[in-house]
Amino acid sequence: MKNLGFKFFSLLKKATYPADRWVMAISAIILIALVIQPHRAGDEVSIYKDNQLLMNLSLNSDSITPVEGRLGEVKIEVKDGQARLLEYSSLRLIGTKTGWIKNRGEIAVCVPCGILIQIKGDKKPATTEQKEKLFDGIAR
Amino acid sequence: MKTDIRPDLLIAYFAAAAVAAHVLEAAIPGPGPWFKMGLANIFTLVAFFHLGWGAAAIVSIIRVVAGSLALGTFLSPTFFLSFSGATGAVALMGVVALSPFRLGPVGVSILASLAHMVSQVVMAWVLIIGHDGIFLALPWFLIGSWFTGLVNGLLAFLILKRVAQHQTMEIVWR
Repeated sequence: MKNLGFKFFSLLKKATYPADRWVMAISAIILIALVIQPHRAGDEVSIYKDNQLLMNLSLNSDSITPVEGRLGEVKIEVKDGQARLLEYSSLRLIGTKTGWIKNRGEIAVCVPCGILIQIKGDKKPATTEQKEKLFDGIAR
Repeated sequence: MKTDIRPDLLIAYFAAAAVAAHVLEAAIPGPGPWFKMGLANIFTLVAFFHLGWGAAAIVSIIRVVAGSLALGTFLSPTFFLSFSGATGAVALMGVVALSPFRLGPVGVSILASLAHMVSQVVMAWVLIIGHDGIFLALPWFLIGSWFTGLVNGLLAFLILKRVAQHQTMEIVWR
């Protein structure tokens, strides 16, 4: 294994110019920075077809909801505060392979079906008055 | 003694290999969603470094069209996603060709792979999904693209080394 790793890095050294190594390092740093984000569990899952909101389902109650996609029926399963897409007619089943999603902002999408599900959280942002109350509370 | 070889024949060889890789890859189950090795892009890279940007563009177009015809996905959403990805990658290669920096197959492959993924997601957003949420998953897709770009770049480097060892071949532009 150690030998394999050495061979890999030896090949990488041979195959790259300094500019290549800069490209690798800078792109890797940018991508890691983009990926590292705090995860917060969501409250509901929104179901879209062709960017039109079809419905919102609560993540607090387990359910299996069929919706009509472009290629046929797609089911959205909610279980234990998570949701997943179950498509049947899509070629690659990428939406199904995405598996369970539960954190705010996470999506599962079946592009050929035109179906996208997204986890949502508390949609109401805190008002200025609420924020002031909060700060008053902290001050007290 | 060197044998003349016409560049259009080389383009045909690379395109045929790319189409074969494209079809073969479609038959192999992927390790995860939105994750494909993009093995066909190796031959686009080889064409880019061996024959230039124009050849890479031709190989890429032939690969997308012939590959989709073979798989029965021509003019389907899958075709447009594939086409947009290939266009993004080839456009990026054009930028690299014009830039003063000397990049090898690994650097070009990583950048082209990232451009490929961004183009595909933008195409999915414009044509099919239209929901901004798709961009939330983009960083994860790009991480996958980075690794596939690295592996494909190394494989392209090895193929280019083999092609360069062929002392009997001399490209003759006519």
